[in-house]
Amino acid sequence: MTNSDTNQQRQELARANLRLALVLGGIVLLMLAVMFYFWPGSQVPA
Amino acid sequence: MNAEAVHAEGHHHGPPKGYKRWLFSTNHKDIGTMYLIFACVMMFLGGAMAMLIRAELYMPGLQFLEPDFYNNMVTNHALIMVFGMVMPAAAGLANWMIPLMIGAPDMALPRLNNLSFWLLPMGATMLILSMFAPVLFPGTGGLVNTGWTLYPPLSIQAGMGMDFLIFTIHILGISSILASINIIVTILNMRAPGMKMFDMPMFVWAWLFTGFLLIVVMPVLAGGVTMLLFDRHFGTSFFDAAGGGDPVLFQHLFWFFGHPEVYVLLLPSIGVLAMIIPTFARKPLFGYKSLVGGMAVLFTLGLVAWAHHQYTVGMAYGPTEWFMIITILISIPVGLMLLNFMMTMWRGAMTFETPMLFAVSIVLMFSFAGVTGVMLAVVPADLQYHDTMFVVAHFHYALIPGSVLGLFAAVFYWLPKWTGNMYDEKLAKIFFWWNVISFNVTFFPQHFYGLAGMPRRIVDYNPAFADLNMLSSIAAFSYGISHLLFLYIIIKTVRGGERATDKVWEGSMIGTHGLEWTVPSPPPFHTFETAPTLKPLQH
Repeated sequence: MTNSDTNQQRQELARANLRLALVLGGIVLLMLAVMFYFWPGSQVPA
Repeated sequence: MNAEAVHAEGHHHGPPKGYKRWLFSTNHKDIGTMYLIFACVMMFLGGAMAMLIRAELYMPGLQFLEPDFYNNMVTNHALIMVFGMVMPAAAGLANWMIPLMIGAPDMALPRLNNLSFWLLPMGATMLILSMFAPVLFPGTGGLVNTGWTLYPPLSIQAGMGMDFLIFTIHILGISSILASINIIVTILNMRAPGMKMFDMPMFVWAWLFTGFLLIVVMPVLAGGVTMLLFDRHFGTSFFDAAGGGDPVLFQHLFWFFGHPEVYVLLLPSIGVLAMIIPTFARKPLFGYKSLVGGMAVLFTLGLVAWAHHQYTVGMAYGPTEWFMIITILISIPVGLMLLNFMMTMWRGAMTFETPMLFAVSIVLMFSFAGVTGVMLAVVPADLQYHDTMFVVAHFHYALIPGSVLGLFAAVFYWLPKWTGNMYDEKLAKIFFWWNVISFNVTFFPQHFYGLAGMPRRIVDYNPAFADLNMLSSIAAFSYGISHLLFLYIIIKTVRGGERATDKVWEGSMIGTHGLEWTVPSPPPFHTFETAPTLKPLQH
C-alpha cells in the first residue's frame, strides 16, 4: 500500500490505515488482559 | 468521481491563520513543531527541579528544601523528563521526519495525531497540579514522595497528589499509545512506491520498534496504576499484603513497563545517530541489516529483563538468574550498534559539525553507561550498588548521552531543514563542549560517592561525601545554564541566518533515498502530495 492519487485509492488507503490501527489497538487490549491475568500476584516470579 | 472533484477535495491552500492553525492542526510538520516546543518547555521545568535537587545536595545537612519537598522534586523531575521531555521530543522528531523520509504526504491518521499532541498539555497540567494538591485540597495528605516508580505501600499512603499523578500517567500513556499506533501505521502503509522495508532510513526503523514497544508496555503501566488507584480509594488489595495482595506485584508491573521504556527513550536517538554518522563520515551506514537485527534483539530481550531493577526485593533464585543472564545478554545488541557506528566512521572522510560532535561523544559516553550497566546486572554486585548514587550516575549516563544528547544532535542536524536557516556553528560548538564537559563533571563523581555508599533519593548525606557533591552541584548549575544557550541558538536560527540548501549537508544522501533532503528547506506546508518515484537502493 502506498500513498495515492485517485479518490478511490485514498479511501482504500484510509480504510487500510484504520484496519491496521484497530489491530494495533487490539494489541493494547491484549496486553491489558494479560496483565490482569497475573492478579492477584501469585503467578509472577516471586 | 471526476478529476475536478478529486482536485477540489485534495487541494490545499496553505496553513490556516491564527490559533486554529495549531489547535486544530492535522499537519505533521506543525504537530511535530508543537511536540518539540512542548518538550523544550518541559526540559526547562524538569531541569529547574534538578537544579533544586543539586542545590540541596551542595552541602550535607538540610539547606533549602523540606525532605518531603525534596522527594517530590526527585519524583517530578524524573516523570517530567521521561514523559514530558524525552518522549514528546522523540515523537516530535518522528512527526516531522518520518513522513518526509518515507515520501508520505502526512501521518496516516492526522486527526489522531492532533489528539495525541493535545493530550500532552492536559497531562502536564495534571502533573503540575499534583504538586499543588496539598494546598488546593488541604487535609488530603502531603506531597508525593515515592520517586517516579510509585511503589506501594508508600504510594497508597501518599496524599491526593498521587491521584493526580495516576491520571497524569493515564493521559500521557493514552497519548503515547495513540502516537505509536499512528507512527506504525504510517510506516507500514504510507511508504512511497518502491520503498521496501529494508530501504527505510534507520530513524524510521528505530521508531517502528519504539512504537511497538510502547503499545506493548504502556497498557501494563496504565493497568498497574489503575490497580493502585483502586487500592487507594475503592477497597481493593491488589498490592496490600493484609488483603491477600502483593506489593511486589506492582514492582513487576511497573518494571515490565519501565525497562522497555529505557529503550523507548533510547531507540529514537540510536536512529538519529544512524542518520548523522554516515552523513558526516561520508560513508554508507556499516551493517544496515545487522543494525535492524540488533534493534529487534534489543526489543525482544528488553521485554524480558525487567526484574533486574528489583534484585533486592527477595526474588527466588531461578527468576533472579534468568533476569541477570538476559540483562547481560543485552550488552550484545548494544555493543553491535556501537560497533556499527564505529565501523561507519572507520576510514570515513569525517568532519565534525555539531551533530557529529554529539554523535561521537554519545558513542563514547553511552559505552560508559553500558559498562556500569553490566556491573549493575550482576546480582551480587548489584546488592551493593542498589539505591546508591552509582545507579544515579549509571542511568544519567545512559539517558543523557543515549537519549537527550541524541535529541540535541537531531535538532542541530535537522534544524536547517525545518527552518531553512543554518544555525550558528560557532555557538553550537560552544554549547556542545560546555554541555558535555559540565555533564561529565556533574555525573562522573557520582560513581565514586555511590560506590562509597551514598544512598540516592535522600535529602541529607554523610559529610564524607561533601567535596565531590559540591563539585557535582557546581557542574550541574553550569550544565543547567548551558541549555539557555541551546534555546538562544534555536531562536536565533528560527529568526534568520545563512540560507540552508535543500540537501543541507554534503553527505546527507549517502546510502539512503534521502527523500527528506529532496524537499525545499524549509519544506512547504504540504509535501509529497504526489508520491516520489524511487530507484532501487543497494545495501
